[in-house]
Amino acid sequence: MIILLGLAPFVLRAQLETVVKINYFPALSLGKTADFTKNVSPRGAEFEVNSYLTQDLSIGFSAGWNVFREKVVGESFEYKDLLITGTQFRYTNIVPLNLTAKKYFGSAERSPFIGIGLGTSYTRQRLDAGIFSSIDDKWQFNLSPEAGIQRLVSPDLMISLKIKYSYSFEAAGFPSMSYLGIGMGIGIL
Amino acid sequence: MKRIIQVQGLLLILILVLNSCTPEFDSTVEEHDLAITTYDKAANFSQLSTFYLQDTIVYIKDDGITIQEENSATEQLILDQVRQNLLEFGWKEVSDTTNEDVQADVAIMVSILQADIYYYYTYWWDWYYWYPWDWWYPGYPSYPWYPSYPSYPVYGYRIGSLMIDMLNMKDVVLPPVEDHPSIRPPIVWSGIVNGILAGSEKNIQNRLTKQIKQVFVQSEALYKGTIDK
Repeated sequence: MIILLGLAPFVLRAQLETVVKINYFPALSLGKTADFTKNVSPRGAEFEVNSYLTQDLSIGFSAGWNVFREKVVGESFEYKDLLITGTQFRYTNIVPLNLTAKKYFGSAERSPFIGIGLGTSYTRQRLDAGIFSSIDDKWQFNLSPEAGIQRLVSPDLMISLKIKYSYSFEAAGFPSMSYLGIGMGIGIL
Repeated sequence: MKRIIQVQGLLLILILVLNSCTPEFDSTVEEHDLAITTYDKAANFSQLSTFYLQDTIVYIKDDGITIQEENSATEQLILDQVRQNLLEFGWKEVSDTTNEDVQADVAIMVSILQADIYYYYTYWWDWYYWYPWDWWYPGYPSYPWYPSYPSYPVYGYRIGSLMIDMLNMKDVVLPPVEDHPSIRPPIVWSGIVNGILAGSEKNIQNRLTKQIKQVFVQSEALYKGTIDK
C-alpha cells in the first residue's frame, strides 16, 4: 500500500497529459472461472493511468483486482483415490497487470472510447472444504478489450463508464480465466 | 503538489476498496463436515456379503491410544448407524464369535481420531496419506490390536475423524492367539467422517448420523442391490 501511494509523484512527473483513474469494477465470471466460482461479484477495483499521445489516442497501464467466490453444498469431488462430499468454499482472485492503448471518439468533454490491454495476470484459486484448504496459482498471459465513455465534469476531474472483458490464457495446465466487468471510474487530469 | 495529493487520495480510495476484496464466507460448524471414502478398485465386492462389526471403538488422541470399554450414547449411535447402513445396503451381519473365530467376509473396524490440528493445512489432503492405514491388527475376539501412533501436528483447535474400515477377512487364516498375530488383512473400503468437534451432543449425533449415511451413499461398490437405498 505504501509502495502504491509512493508511485503517485512518479506517475505525474513522467507524463504531462495524464489521467489517473480508479474504477469500481464489479464483474461476472465466465468460462472456466465460472466453472470454479460462478459469481456476479461486487468485489473488484482497477487503477489505471492513461497518457495522451494525441487528443484521440492514449497509452498507459492498468492494474486490477477481482474476487469471485462460490459456496457449493453437498457436491462430491475426487481427489487422488478419494471421493469427498461436503460444503466447498471456493475463491478466485485475479490481478491483471496490463499495458493499455485507447482510441477516443468525440469531444474532449464527452468521449466514447475503445481500448485493449495486454500483459499478465496473477490468478489464485482456493478451495476450502472442512478444515482443509487447497490453493493453486499461476501467472498467465492476459488480453483485455474494453469500450466505454468518459466525461469531463470539471477541468481536472473525469468520470467514466466502461465494459471490459478480461481473458487470461491457459498456462501449464492452469485453466484459462475470463470475466466481464463494468468499470465505474473517477479520474483526475 | 496539489495533484500529488489528489492522486494519493485516489490511491487511498483504491486501497480501501481492495481491502474489501478478500471476503471469507461465514460458515457453520456443520459446513466443515466431510464424508470421505476410498476403496480397493481390484476387490471383488460381489463375493463379500457378510460382516462382523467390532463393538469397541478405538480412540486416537494427542496423548495416545485408548479403547473404550463401555460405549457412550454417541459411540453406540455410531455403531448402530454403521450396522444399519450396511444392513440397508444388503449386507448380512455375523455376530457369533464362537471358538474365537468369525465366519464373516469382512470385519468392520471403527476408530476415532481426535487431534488438535492447526487451522487449514496449505495442502490439505496430504493429511490423509499420513495416516498409517495398515496399522491394524484385526479386532477379532481375543486378538489384540497394537496400533502404532501416527505423528501429526498437534496444535490449534480440535477436530475429529471417525474412520470406518472394512477389512477383507475372506481369505485370511488367523494364526493362534498365542502366536504373534502379525497379519494385516487388506482394507477394501474406508469411510471417513471428518469435522470439528463442537456443538451439543445432540448436534454432534445428528451430524454423525447424516455423514455416516453419506459415506455409504457415495459407495456404490458396497451396494448389494437387494433393497432400495
